[in-house]
Amino acid sequence: MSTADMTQATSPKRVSRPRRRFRIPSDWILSIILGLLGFLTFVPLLMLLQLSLKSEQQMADSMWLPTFPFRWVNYVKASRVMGPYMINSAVFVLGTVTISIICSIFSAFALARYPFPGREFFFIAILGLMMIPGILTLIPRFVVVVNLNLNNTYPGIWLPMAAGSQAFQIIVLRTFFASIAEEMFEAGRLDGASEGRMLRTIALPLATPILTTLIVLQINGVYSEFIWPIMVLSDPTRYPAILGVLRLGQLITQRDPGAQYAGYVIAGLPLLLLFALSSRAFIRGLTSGAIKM
Amino acid sequence: MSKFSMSRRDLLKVLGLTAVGAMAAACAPSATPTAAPKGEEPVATTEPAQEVAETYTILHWAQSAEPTDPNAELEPGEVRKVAYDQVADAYMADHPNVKIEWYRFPAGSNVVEWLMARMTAQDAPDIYWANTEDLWPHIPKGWALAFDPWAELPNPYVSGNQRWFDQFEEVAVISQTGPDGKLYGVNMDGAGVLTLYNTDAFEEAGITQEPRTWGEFRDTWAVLLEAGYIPYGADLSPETCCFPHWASAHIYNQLVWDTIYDWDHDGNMVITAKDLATSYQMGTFPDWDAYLQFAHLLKEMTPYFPLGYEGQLDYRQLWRQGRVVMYMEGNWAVSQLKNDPPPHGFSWLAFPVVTKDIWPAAPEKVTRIQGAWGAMQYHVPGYLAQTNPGKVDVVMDWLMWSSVPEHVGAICKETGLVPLTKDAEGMPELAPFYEPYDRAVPYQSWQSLSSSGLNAEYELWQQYLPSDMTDDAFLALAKDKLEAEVEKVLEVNPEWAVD
Amino acid sequence: MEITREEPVAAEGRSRWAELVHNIRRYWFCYAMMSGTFILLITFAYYPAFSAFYHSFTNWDGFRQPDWVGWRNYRYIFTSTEIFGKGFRNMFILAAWQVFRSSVFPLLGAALLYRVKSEKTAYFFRLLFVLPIVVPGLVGILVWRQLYEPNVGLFNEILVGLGMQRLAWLNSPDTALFSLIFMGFPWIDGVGLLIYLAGFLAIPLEIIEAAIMDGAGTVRRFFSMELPLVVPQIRLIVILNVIGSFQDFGWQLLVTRGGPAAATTVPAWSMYKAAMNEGRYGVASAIGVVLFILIFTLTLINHAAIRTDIEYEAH
Repeated sequence: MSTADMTQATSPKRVSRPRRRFRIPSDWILSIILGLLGFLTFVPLLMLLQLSLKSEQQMADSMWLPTFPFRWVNYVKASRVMGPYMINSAVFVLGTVTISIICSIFSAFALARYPFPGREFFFIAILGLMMIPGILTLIPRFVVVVNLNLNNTYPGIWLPMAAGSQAFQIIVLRTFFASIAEEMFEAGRLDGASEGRMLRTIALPLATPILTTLIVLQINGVYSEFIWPIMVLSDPTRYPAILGVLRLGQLITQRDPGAQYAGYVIAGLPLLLLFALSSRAFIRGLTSGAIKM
Repeated sequence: MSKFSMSRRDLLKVLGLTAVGAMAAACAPSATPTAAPKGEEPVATTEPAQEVAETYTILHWAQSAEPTDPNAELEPGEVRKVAYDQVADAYMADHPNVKIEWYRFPAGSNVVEWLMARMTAQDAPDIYWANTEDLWPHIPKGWALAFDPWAELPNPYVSGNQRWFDQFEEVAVISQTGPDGKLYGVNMDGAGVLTLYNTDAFEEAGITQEPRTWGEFRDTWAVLLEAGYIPYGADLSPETCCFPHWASAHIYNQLVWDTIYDWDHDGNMVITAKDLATSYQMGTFPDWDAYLQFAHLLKEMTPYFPLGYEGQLDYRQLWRQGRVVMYMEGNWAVSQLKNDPPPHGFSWLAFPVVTKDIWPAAPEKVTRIQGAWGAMQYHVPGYLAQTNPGKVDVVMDWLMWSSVPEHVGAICKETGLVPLTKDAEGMPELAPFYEPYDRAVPYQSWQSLSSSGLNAEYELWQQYLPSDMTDDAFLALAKDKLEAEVEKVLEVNPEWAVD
Repeated sequence: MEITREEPVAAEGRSRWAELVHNIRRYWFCYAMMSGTFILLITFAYYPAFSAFYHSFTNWDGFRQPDWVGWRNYRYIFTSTEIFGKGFRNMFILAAWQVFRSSVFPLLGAALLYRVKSEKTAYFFRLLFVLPIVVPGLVGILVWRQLYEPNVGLFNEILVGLGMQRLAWLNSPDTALFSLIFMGFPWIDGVGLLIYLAGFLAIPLEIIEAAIMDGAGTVRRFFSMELPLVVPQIRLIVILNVIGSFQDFGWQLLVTRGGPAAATTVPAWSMYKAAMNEGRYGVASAIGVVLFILIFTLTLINHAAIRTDIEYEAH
């Protein structure tokens, strides 16, 4: 599919009927069904929210129905506790995503557009990685990190996690880069542009939606990863937010379970923000049709 | 979709590289930085660390003896724990080149898994906590440093002390003895196990007398169930402390009271993993009749457990809410609850006494069997002797300071634990736990064999208690599981095999 | 545009080998571009994988020099009721469920969404279903655990309210696995939904119009047109989800620990436990190798079995 087809696909023209008001009944029925499904999907989130606004007494009285007054101080407490861990998370995410995306872009571009010797082989090798269960390599990877003296350091988190995301990103990006019409590059070459320049000025701008999607997915993955940091980091003050969540029970007393739930919500806020900022591009990337086998 | 079809050449390339890679991995050094070889020990200096010009930062995981985290958010009226901070400040004033920092263990992590990661990376805190049963299987890996050279030295901070470890109750010293007879840590306090109960609920249900024997407990539970309560809080998850193996420690031990030291082969009064492995192979461990009776007693309790006891429950929270009436708890709870009282009255009982009508050989005393060990069981990573021998001396000096009776007493008054340091005084309310007791728990459960053994035994209860398995089926299952666990232990320690 | 694989053309006077060298020189920058990836992958993926493979034949405990034990670890795996009997059984049940869960529900959601006429409504619902992604996995697990709590949890409160018996959910060997499966109801995964939706949106409008003209109803259109055309997407999502489910042990690590009574144990969990809890790294590696072989086989079958002959050419 050419690029032109793809842009058409993302903003489809509906069957050309005159745009009247809401067409009853089909849209109504669909909305009701989808609304119900959406609500059910949201129930756990709603429960989390209302739990986070309770005191211990309110929880004992009625755990699952909202109780008033809302205990906003839970959030104050929880944010004081979670603050340092959120910063740690930010550092982890920035480092990992930067390293991973840069490497993926280069590799995918090379694999997609240049018939260099060994190309098929490299691609199969990368594809094969996706089949290796992450835990198989968990301990030896930890040993490698220890031997390189990277335990309890930032690179000890960045590098292995970047390595883990390469396979998926390269596969998706390769598909995308390969679908760009050769003519566009021909034009560039005629103008005397170098390969790197063409990557930067032609391929990357076109790839923005899919890159956004990949970045958002990776941020989500890195942010939520807890098994690897728990092994590599011996100093609990370096923990990312996700592990800070586990420590909430220690730092906020038993008398305040509501504040712990507030901590969970706070842990989810960066992702919410990320999503709010990128939703259009993210959705466009997913619906661009580049993700398929 | 044939975007990547492989030609035969490519396939051969892949296979060839795989073979090369496998060989490379095989030849590469596979061990992590090596553990301290057995038998080698650094020589202790007799001088305390004051002469040394170097500065040391000691990272100390004090477990529940640690002072309250300065970042913790407390409710109004809650008291911060400061005793160990005061002890540390006094030490640092005297030793300006030493800094004591508290390591905060990441809650939610499993201690054994944490130990494994930290020992592999050699970045554990300089002093760490572990229940000795968790440590014994790992001593051959060099995870814990032997304390013997320092144990023989006099403690300069206690006047009249000729030998540091003379300060501690015999049971505390015994608990730190590893399978090779060396001492692998210092144990300054211990925990008794008591049964906490809700006095308001007792009143409401019309119970006027505190139960003492097993039969009395059973009747009490029945009354409470009638009155609409959940009589006994317990669960069978290894993540929740600690019902099944405390029940084993306090009830099963009563059943095998007279023969339990038969399992102690090396005669050092400690029933180590090696002792158990040996006894099992010789057929003397466990006493299957007693074990079956113990299983029956547990089964009797199940109608009084909360729903879902086979998995993990927060029955302490349910107790606070007044739904669960009693549960087994370490005596540290007394201090916690003083600080953080539940909305109802509470008191505590000793655990049930098994009477002769249930088990003819029962000793029938309210035995002060010391329960789980306490917070101040401290060990030093084995690798520290290689990487920083000077620091080891400083660490030992700091531990000697910590173990001064006044210091231990101050800490125990806060934590509610029982000092195992002679002449130290803990919380007055727990006086009964300080009286001389008959014996410390020599055997807890399959946990004394290995931490995997603990999980296996918990699984046994998870399978047996909710089911209607026959006695024979239960014994067969238990034997299978125990056999597998002993084999795992022998795999790691083949020298323990009995021919 | 298909990526064609150029056959090295023997130019005059050049041997095959010289041609190869020539191409390597010509495309040197490709190797440079891939170097970052390969350093990362070799250090943190391939080498550990080979190391694990090698150690699966040893009794390595992570510390002492390992001894070669041949097939003993594999024998142990296949004779252990916990790992082999219950573990693999649970894993296959969960994987089968994943196939169903990742293909049917998001697909239906996408199909419904596709039919919504109003742009605004469609966008709103798209957002709605994708939003739950922001909840980190760990938080989701902790919240669901509370929902499932037998004594004070929401689900039992609902059951009691309806006059029914309370269930032990995650806490009973009989219901634990089912509770894991039920989690995430109604199973409309936002990412999957969008990918399927993309597939639908890619269908050229002329065909839809033609079908409507022919009188094909909604349901008929779905089964004979829309569904076949999103098969590539379905394939990718299903295979990714199944591979993911083979490796997932977050629930076991945080909540069930494989229990109660091994009711929720899966090989991935046994692997972690063997390595981190029991210190038997050889056994853990062996489990990992077995999982790898399974995943590899599955991927091959996936490619071979599902043939998409019905691929409508856009031009």
